Amino acid sequence: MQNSEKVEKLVYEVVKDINKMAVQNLNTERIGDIPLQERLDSLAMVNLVVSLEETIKQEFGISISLVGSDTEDSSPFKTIGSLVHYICSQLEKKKRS
Amino acid sequence: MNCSIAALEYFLPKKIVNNRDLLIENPSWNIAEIVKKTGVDSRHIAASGETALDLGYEASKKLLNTSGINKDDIGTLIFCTQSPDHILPANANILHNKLALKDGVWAFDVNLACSGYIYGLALSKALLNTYELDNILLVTADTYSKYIHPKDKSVRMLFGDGAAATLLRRSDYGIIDVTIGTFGKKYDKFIIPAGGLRIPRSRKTEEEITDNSGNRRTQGNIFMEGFSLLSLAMAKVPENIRQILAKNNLKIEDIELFIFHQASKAVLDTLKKATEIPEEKVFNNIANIGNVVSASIPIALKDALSANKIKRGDKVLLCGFGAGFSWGSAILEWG
Repeated sequence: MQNSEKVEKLVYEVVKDINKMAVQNLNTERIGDIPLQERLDSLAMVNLVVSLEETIKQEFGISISLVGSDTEDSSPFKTIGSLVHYICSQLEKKKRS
Repeated sequence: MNCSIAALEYFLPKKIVNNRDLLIENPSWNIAEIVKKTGVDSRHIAASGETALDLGYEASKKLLNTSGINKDDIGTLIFCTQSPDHILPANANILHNKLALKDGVWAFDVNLACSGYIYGLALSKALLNTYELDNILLVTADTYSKYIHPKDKSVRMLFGDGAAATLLRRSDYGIIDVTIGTFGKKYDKFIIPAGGLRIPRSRKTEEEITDNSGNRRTQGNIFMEGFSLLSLAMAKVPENIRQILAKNNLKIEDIELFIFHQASKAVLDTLKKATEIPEEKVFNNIANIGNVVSASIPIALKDALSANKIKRGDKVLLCGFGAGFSWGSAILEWG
């Protein structure tokens, strides 16, 4: 399984765990298009960040930070697709450094 | 000349709301999962008619009793709150009367949230040095519960009510340094939109809206975008801590205890990871207090002292951050 597929599956599972409401209407949407901030409340978004960082550490053995100055406008967290892309780029960065 | 914390007390409302109470009231809330990240098991909630002023008054009386200071020796009264009794006059004026302090006392309010205690320390040191005032009573108190819609789990699970009273006195040790920052661009990420003069309360502002997670609120309630605040905290706070340490030629290992504003367990864990501060150096008392805004740091400081986590000569770093977006850190040498 390629990294991006693995990350997408992982993000989807974490989102599902955090808030069942976040995955309603899945039948009519591709996973990548699921709008996170429309489905998750303030607390759930914070929980998503923390849970994802923990899960990524467990799965990839790499510690990354998903929030900081480049996420202030929340753009990487708009959809599962954009989040997967952001996580993959962060993992690549860490591997290179 | 420096100033130091000569006495510190806090007061919490009698009523305790625990997560079991919230679950009974809101069976659809996934409280077991939420608490893993908030870290809050119970919180004290002010009774109807009980305000931040009342809590601050009780904390101040306790401080006057335990410290042995004569109330006539209080030279300045600073009241930090975002839940004042009235638009005017300031809570500090009313508390001045309730405590029967002498005329000639400097008394004023500061409208700040979770960075309020750091500002209070900075102001105290500046006043002591510039105007030779002494015995500053710094009261930090809030009752955010009164601003929270009972059906908004995104904030109701986090916040509690409480007050702290701190006595600052002239000394040779104490506040080593304070650094503060503001990022007003994101002021609307933690806001009560209505109730001021920009958007006065009206029938329209009292209309309830329900978000996609089922949380209800009006424009008169707290709206908090937790993700943005977490991003801002991670973007500003670790750098602020690195700056104040570097400015004072200190390293993490030189600080015996770090006391962060008790925002939530998730935020504290993420900050610890970003700053690489060892777990045992970070004090945490959020479980039974919750996030009590500007009273959070002094309550944690008092609990750390009671638990003998701080001894004479220790360096302690206090760090607050929140609505504004506003943040600041202070390094103290404990005497």
